[in-house]
Amino acid sequence: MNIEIKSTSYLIPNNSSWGSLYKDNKLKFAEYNNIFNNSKFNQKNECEIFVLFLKDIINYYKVLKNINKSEIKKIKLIINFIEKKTSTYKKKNFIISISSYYYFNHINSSKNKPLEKETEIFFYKELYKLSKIYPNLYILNIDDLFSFHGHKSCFDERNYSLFRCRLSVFGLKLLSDKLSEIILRINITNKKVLLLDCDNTLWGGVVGEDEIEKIKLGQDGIGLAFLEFQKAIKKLQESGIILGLVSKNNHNDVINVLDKHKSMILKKKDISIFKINWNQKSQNIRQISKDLFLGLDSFVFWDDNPIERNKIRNEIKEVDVIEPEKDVSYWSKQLLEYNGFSKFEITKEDYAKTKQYKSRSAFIEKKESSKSEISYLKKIKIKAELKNIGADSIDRASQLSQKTNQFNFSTKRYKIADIKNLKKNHLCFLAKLSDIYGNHGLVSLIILKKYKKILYVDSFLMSCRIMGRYLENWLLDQIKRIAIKNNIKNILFEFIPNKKNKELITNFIKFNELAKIKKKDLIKIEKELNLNNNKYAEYYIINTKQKIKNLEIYGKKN
Amino acid sequence: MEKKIKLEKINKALKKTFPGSKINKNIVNLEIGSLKKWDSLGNLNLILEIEKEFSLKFDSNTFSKIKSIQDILREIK
Repeated sequence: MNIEIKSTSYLIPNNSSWGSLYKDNKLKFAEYNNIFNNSKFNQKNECEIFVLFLKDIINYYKVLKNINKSEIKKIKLIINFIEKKTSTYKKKNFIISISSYYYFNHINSSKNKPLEKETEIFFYKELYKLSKIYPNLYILNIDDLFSFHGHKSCFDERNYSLFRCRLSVFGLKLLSDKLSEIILRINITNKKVLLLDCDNTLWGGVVGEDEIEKIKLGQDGIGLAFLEFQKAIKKLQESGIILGLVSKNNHNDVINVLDKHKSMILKKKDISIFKINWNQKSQNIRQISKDLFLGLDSFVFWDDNPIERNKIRNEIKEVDVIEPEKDVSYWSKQLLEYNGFSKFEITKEDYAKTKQYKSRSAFIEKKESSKSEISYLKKIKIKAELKNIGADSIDRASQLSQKTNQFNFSTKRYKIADIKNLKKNHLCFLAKLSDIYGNHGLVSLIILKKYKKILYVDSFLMSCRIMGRYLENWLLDQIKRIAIKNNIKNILFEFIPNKKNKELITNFIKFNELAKIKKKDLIKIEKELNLNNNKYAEYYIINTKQKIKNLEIYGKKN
Repeated sequence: MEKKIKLEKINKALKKTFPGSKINKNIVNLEIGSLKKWDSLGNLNLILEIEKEFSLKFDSNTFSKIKSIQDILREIK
């Protein structure tokens, strides 16, 4: 990424402290202290980092009793400047890192809030207002970052008097490390699943051998350490991280502890995935990835046993295997400081994730263990319904379009405004689904355009978490019915393959025997057909006379 | 500290600060300007690297006087 760094102080470009940022990025340092002018925007920069020291901006020697108006005005000007930049260059990311570090005097501040503190509070309040509005704006509080390591070792007055650098080389290095972590998270999403061993990981001792009261959990000493570790895990679960148990035990022994041990923080309802068996853990993990449509790189593995850790490291390189501290007392801290799960925002959907994946893995487990797939699916009372997009569901329609990757024919990303526009001359539908595993809500988006001889499928996508129910076939049948109703004989699918959608869509095409057709032959059927010029697009056609399979699940005849 | 050990450490700092530059085996007489990248910014980075290497901190006065390997040898006790 091309990054430009601008600061109110000198930041010693080329110093080895910047190594972590130089590693994956191209850095450019602007001339220091010349940053709030509206200099020409460099198109190449994908990210601009501002490093602001309030000491360089506010004249604290002047202000005695109150922050005076001219100082507040300065801050407001900076805020306006930042807002103007972030709103103009929406595709560019901005990271504002600020330090309001001042010399703390405990006696002077025993009765009154220091002015520096007040200025800082005002600045942050305004900045966080902006970061809520502009998704491309991020904030790094340098003082909080440094307080962990000690301000004394991060700031350096000598460097300031010699060459106007407020920081020590150690401070520069920390700043560089943390900035590069933020940039990495902008580009790569966080880990989603924490896979845990049970014995000597969630509690001390082995459940098969000890009676459940004998395991170490909750009591002082090591038992308290395991309890704190469970609290940390629970905290992650509440922020939307999915928990899975992958352990070599008898299934019922573990369930017994979850249900009956009084000190357990983690309950059965908190865990979405249970792979408690004597299979190889790597085999279990691959199965989870397949069943839940989660990439192997979204897993984090925590196990006290070094042999199991090494096996996973060797066999599944994508999984992040944690090397736990030797002393269990530090595990809770280690887990909460681990960056892999960190994310910028916790959304409404995050809160629902545990339940969602729990119901998915329960569905898969039952389906795998039943003799006939179809008769099992018939039993679970699946109900699907097609709905027009209304004011109450247009949000969800856009969300599905933005987020669905795997079962998505054309991966066209539509915002709310786009869908409003499309509705004028397209048929737009959402599909609702429920069964004994719950009400799954609106899980599919379909956008169609009618031509004289062709019904063109502009978008056809479906959320992965309900896969395995042949809803895609029911939807195909619905599209067919719309075509028949409009007296159209051919349905045209546009497939734009990519890494993520290739597998599921190709399977669908094969299973339903969609026929591939060349673009030039399409125009022979339908002159007015208006297709975009995506060179990777493939076209498939299905005739309304074709029979669609497996509809009996939905109580329909073929 | 022995002069030989000092020179070894200084050499390490030089290589780290000026990774692209060819550095003579005998570094004792090098000074600001001797290497293409050893300008005033290079000098600054070199002294900071020397501080890291020897785990010490020069005061402002000493820092601003250092312009050559000889100066560094003199200031490191």
